[in-house]
Amino acid sequence: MNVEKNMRTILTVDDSTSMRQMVRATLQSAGYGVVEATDGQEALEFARTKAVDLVISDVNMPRMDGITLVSELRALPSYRLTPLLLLTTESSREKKLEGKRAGATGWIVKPFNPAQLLATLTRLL
Amino acid sequence: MKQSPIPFPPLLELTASQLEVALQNSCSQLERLANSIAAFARLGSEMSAHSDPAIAQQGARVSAEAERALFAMQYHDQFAQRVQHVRDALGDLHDAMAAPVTPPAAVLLAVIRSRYTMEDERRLFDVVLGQLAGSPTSHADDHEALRGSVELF
Repeated sequence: MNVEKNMRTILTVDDSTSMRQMVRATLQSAGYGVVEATDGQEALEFARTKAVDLVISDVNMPRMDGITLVSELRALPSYRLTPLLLLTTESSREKKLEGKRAGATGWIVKPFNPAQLLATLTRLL
Repeated sequence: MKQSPIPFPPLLELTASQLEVALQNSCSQLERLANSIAAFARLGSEMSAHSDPAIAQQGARVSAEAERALFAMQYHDQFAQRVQHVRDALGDLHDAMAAPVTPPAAVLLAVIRSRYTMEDERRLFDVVLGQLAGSPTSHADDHEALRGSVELF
């Protein structure tokens, strides 16, 4: 994974290749740099070595789920204030509450609207 | 002539395998399609920034179409998740039927329900099997209305 210089960089985490491609296409069309991880564990390993400007993560993934990832990221000094968004098919109140308690900044229910996602990022960055 | 019993466990295994193959084929094609749409989105973005207003206008149209395609394609991801859950449930059923001692229905049903990741999957399960599984019978959230929603905490 390479972090591009001189632009806002977003870490996207999803075990679905096509979902990562769709999120990447949306973000790159707006000029963001994108790094990708296929699950929470891979994302956490990356985050321990580099800081990014924002994280967008799926919830249900193998090895480490998105809510655990948020919890682990919040424990890292460099990610204490980083916006962490969960992008998921889950829409139950209980799961959202879990995400909020773990330290997530927001919750987006798939399928995401590209324009709305970009507007949310503009608000947070 | 004595009839053989229906071989339920291998039939369940076969059905789960057929779903797995269909899923893999479908996902690999979707990845190609997603790459193409991503390329259109990048092209639209570059054209939109062009100094010639006519090209910039065309670029905006390409971007808008790519955006619509990106939205629509995500429904395949949900479809794939549903098929995976059906495949997993068939696997659970196969294991239960092949076990020397059949597990209690409530245990098997709880395992199947716990795999769901979408509220409308749980709703459907509860409508059909809620009483048997002891799962909630009412759901407050309107999942359809929540699709695409953004909530900042």
